[in-house]
Amino acid sequence: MTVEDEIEIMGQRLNDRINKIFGRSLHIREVDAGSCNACEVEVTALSNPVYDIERFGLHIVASPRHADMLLVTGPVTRNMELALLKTYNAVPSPKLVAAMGSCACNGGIFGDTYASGGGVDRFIPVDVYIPGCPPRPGAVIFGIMVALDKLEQKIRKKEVRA
Amino acid sequence: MNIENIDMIRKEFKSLILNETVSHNELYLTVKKDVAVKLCDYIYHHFDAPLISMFATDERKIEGSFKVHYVFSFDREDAFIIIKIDVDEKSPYFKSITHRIPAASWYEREIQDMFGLVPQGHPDPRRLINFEDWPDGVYPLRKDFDISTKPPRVKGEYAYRRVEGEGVYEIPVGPVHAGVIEPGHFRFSVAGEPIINLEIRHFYTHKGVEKLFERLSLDKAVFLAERISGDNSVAHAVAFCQALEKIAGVDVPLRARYTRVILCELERLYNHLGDIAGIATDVAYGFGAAHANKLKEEILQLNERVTGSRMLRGMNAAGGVRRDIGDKKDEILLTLARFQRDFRELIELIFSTSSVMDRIETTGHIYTDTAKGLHVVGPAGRASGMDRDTRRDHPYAAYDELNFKVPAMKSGDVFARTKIRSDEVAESIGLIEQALWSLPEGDIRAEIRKIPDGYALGYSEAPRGEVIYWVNIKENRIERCKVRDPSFCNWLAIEYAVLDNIVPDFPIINKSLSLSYSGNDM
Amino acid sequence: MFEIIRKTLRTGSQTINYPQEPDEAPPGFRGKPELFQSRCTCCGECVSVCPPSVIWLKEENGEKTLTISYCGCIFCGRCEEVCPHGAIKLTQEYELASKTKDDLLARIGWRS
Repeated sequence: MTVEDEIEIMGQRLNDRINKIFGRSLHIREVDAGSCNACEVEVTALSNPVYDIERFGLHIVASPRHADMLLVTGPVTRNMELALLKTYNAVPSPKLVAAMGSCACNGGIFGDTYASGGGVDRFIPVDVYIPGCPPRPGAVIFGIMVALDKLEQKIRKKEVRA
Repeated sequence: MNIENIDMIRKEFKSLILNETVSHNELYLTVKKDVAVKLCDYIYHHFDAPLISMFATDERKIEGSFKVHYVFSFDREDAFIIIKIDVDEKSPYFKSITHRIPAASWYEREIQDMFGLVPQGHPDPRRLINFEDWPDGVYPLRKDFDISTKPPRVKGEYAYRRVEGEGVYEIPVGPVHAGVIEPGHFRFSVAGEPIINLEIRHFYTHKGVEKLFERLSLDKAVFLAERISGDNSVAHAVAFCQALEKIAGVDVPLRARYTRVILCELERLYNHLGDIAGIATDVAYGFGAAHANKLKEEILQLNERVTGSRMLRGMNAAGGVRRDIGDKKDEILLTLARFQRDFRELIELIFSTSSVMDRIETTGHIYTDTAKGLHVVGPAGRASGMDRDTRRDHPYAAYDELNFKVPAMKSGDVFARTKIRSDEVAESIGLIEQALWSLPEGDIRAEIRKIPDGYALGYSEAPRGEVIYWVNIKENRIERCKVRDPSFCNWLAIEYAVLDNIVPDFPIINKSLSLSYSGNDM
Repeated sequence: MFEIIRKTLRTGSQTINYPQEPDEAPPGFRGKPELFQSRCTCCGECVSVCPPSVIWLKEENGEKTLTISYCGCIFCGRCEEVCPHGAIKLTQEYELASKTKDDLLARIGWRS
């Protein structure tokens, strides 16, 4: 068995363990790292009677210390950087991070400037990217399910050459 | 513009006015910087004209100095007077007007942070937007500051106001809150249950939007305007586009103007429903919250069917709108008819529930004097006796051709603000129906090839209150774009609204003012 | 109390059964932009109008490539609007969540 195989098997085991831990219910803490608040509107919509994410055992909790997953929106502003890192460190391991919205994915229209950090993954490791400006509630639910390996991600790198 | 007023100012300040230009409904008066306080004070108190925006521009390259602009609104005449002063780089000081016009407080601190011009005699000269770890002498909105530089973090400490005494406790909250809201810091001082002082500290979500405007081309900038305060996308985009159209001197087709009314009012509907849902949640009236959230979702889904975006994004462009919504008329009318019936039932239930009324009546008082002094806008202002509405006072789009009432109250508590919103929902539905029934035929967009150099104000009434843009175009690019979101005015009022209330009532008061952090911080 | 019960019963269940059943975005929704290699002429119009600059045109070793990253795309539809040949179309697809940024790239290329 090569080292790569071993790492793969270990990774698989870790994945199974994480699924076991998060499988039945997931507690989510939403952190706004400088979004324009449209993503917040959609996160609020997740708990309305139409989408009602509580039926999957997904709860939006009040403290990072209760959370398994951070749902981060916004490009990470200079002034929120420290708060985001502190929140991330307050989440007990193992933890997941979802970058919600185009700003969180890579800065979106705010880009990388003196005040905007240009994406969450420059500051903390991200497990799932959910593009959209803002993503529809369905897209967010799909993203969370992908992070939990409950659904297969639909998009793959696409190259067409002639 | 009313000539009488100008003559009175001219008579009073004859020789002191260096230059006078009129463009559209804007009168620009240039004066020496030491006259500004007297002139502003005269306009503000004599004509009862509120200070609606204040900003600096860096014109060192062209005219050799910075300029500071004070924008006053003459509501009855649908006009604006803008006072301009020169501030030299070598003596970067100007006299603060905050002690005469309290609403100027944050604007002056903003100018201090972004341009390095110091308001002399400001009662609170601390930093506002740049945090304590921002180095001295670096001013983002100066033209010689490159947007992509990342200034190093330095050591520093923010001095909070101190409240001391026996039994006084401090409760710091934020920037990451317990609910799904944006980041900001609140510091309560309580003696027992009642709050005796609240200090807010914001600008955590400062993204450098005004600087970013100067980098983007005009058609891209509309999309940035939409993303200043996400749930007020249309209001911001409309205000920005109107400024551009004013500069270009383009007549927007009537059909586009009616479409803009429909979009603005759809936005108002889902925002007000969201606020009512939030208030119901915070008073633990889960039934009302669930129904209000359901109704909000219905409007969001309608938005998506009509425009392709739940937040009504990507609809506005300079010259008109990008998509025609005429073929969706029946769908909108049908949804709104059902919505209206459900909403009326719901609001009657909410206002007849004693547990709700007990929490919202007499809570979070904003007195008319406070509202006027701080220039509180939108539903929050109208609940406190400030009978102002941009749609009526400075009509834009097609509002002057449609009938609507502007609800106003005087009691200024959470109930009044909720009532104003519920009344505005009814008015909004009426406006959308009128606009749909009389939607004129024709183009939806006027072509704008090139925008000539110039500057103008753009304004609109967002669900939260008036949005003011001042755009200066040079060589088809944005030289300066000043954005004033309604929250920038209203945030100051919360420090007064919570006094003598208990801490558990803070979320309700906050929600009833419906403040955007992102619009404020930009 | 009666009113509450009446309203609750009349409203009924509102929850949709997503993701077990698909929740399709309505026509006209601005979702994932799709590139069509056969129609593209590499004029670069879409590159210059993209507000967050997530479309790039590259020329390397005699191969031209046009890449779009859905990561950072704000779904404004400007690219579709300006494309003279209809080589870029916004679809109703919105389930774009991905574990890697690499999967969020779409590229079309030509050998010259």
